[in-house]
Amino acid sequence: MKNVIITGADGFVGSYTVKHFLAEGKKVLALDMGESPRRLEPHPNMQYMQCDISNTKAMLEAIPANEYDTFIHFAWAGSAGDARFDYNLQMQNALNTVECLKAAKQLGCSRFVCAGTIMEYEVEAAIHEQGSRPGMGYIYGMGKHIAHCLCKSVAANIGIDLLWPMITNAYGVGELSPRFVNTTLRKIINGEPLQFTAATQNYDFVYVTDVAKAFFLVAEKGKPFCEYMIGSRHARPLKEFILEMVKACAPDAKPLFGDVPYTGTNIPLSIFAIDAIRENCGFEPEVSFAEGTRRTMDWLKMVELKQ
Amino acid sequence: MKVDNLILGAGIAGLGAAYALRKAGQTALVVEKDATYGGLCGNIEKDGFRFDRFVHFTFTQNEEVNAIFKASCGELIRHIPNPYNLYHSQWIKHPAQNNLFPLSTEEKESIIKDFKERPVIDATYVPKNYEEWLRLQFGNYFAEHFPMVYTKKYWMKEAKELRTEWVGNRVYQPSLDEVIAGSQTADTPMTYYAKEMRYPQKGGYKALLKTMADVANIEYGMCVTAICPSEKKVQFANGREIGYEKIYSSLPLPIVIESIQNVPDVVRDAVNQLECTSGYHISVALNTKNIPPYLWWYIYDEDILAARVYSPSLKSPDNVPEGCSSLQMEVYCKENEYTEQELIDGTVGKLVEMGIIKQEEILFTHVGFEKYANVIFTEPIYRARKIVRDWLADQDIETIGRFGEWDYLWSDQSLLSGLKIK
Repeated sequence: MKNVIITGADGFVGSYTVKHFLAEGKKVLALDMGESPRRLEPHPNMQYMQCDISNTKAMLEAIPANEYDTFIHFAWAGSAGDARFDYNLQMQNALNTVECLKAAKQLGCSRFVCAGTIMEYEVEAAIHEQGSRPGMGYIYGMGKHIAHCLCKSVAANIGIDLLWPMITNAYGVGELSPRFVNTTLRKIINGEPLQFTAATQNYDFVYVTDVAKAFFLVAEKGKPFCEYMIGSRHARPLKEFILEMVKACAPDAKPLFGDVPYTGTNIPLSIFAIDAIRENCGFEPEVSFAEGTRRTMDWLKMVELKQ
Repeated sequence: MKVDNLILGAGIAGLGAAYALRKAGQTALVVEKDATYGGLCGNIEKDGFRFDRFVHFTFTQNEEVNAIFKASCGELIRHIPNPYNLYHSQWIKHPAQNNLFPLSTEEKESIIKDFKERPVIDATYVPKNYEEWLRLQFGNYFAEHFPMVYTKKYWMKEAKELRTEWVGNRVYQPSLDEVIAGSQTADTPMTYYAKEMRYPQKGGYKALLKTMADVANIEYGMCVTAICPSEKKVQFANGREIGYEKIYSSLPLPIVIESIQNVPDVVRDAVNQLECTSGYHISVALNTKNIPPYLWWYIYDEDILAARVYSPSLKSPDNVPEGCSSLQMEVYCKENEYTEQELIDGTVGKLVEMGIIKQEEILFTHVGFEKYANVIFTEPIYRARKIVRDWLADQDIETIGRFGEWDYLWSDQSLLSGLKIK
């Protein structure tokens, strides 16, 4: 692996991944929607290109063929907030992913690495359970899972290696979307009460630099047509994560559990296992949850001060 | 005149603060605009009837609070809560969600169907507002017909305008099995959040404050008109002026801010974002003992103005003359939203219409208004109240009590708010 194309390169996980590839001495073509990047900084080995991934015809015209060997796909509209419920958007994301896969093949890439999610497992469980009524929040995971299903057949058919790393939950400095860790930290900063479900569901959170490293290792060493869970190796009930975060960031706060009605199902801890990525790719997570949330909290405080 | 500690308000929080300072060997002067102590824990007396001002019972587990209450009025009357709900003129045991038995089969089926069909959510999910919380908790039918209707009556807001952190144990969260069981039999276990409600034998709720009031240095008829933090002086409507080192204020935050000049815009903007309910208590004196046997009941029907009804005579027989009884109905609305006649017609009149009381049994009715009843948990509350309280603390004004902390404090928590001052 020498030269890579990364879509969604200016996003939260995408931008950290670009930095990691550059630090490893790779040449990166960074694609994203903005005219100029918000997160990415200039680098001699990085070229930024404004690109609408739903128009792969234009993409193919703009990018020289046979220059890049690996295509890493993060671009996905609506991965947080209410946009997760938008099935038109999520279906379009899935279709865009397949088109990018085909474009990657045409550009001469031999590997296509796409960001999956652990929610694909929740979707599977909820769909096959008799009488279950999954909430609209599942639609994002459904979109990802549909993309996964379609890509696996299409990749096999057109002859490109598909690799599917699945993110449990990424968090860290720079995350702007309203997702669990940073919304909870914002509440701590604003002195708002911390109110949760019973939080008995199994969970995992990985610091964003560890996620970026995992993508690099999967792209380089992952086995074709395999999926790899990216986790912290310490998956456990959500409540334990919350208590660790509160202890690290707001020792005086008293989180309330069970005040939010909760009807969800649980994913067994075995699903969170990261044995495959450790054995095949040599991945070891480095940042503890306490350390990661502390870093994120310090950054959020700085952002609030600037405002 | 100058004092070290000036306490604004002789309600339960202000008296608690005076009590705490005295215990710590400090002196304090309490100033109160009314002619007596108690504030919202006080009462109205007329013709041998006594009506509390929106306060009801104590169910505190706090030892310090219980010791003060016991010193004030000895052993209290202990009630086992048996609240009921009035829904479409039917009596339903409280909480309605797990006591659906009296409802029609059709309505029970709708409730249970929607309860079963609640969407599955992720463990990290936090509902955006109280309406969403209710729908997730109870399913759509129950949410729309019970708590969402009640929210409008009690909180003067749509459920979607409220946050959810205040809910806690105040709303019972039954399992599906409990809901189904409660739809099949009237014989359900008591699931109210307090197992016992206590009330003084004599003197109304206010009597619980006596031991603190007895040892406090209180001046009455002192209505604050201006606070000058830079000169550390407070002016009163009667022309008095008192200097201070430190203020403990139980006055509502908006009143405190209004009485200070040169408040920064950011603090003024914040105080304007704080919202509270106000309301009328419509008290009824009856020459019969024949009233519903419930200490209190909730009313879901929208054509009846009252959200809740309490019986002062069931709280303690000392609240009424021999052979009589009393009810007090609570209507939450803006001041002058209804005329006195509309208030009486929409409350007492409805009870007469339904045959719950008889017109000829009514000795008198009394209408009272409380401008500050409860704080409303709208979106900006936490941020806004922090800005206001932090700024006041910088001016050596510590704020205490329900409207000083601007929190949903029960009476014992309001007392603790005063007792815990530094």
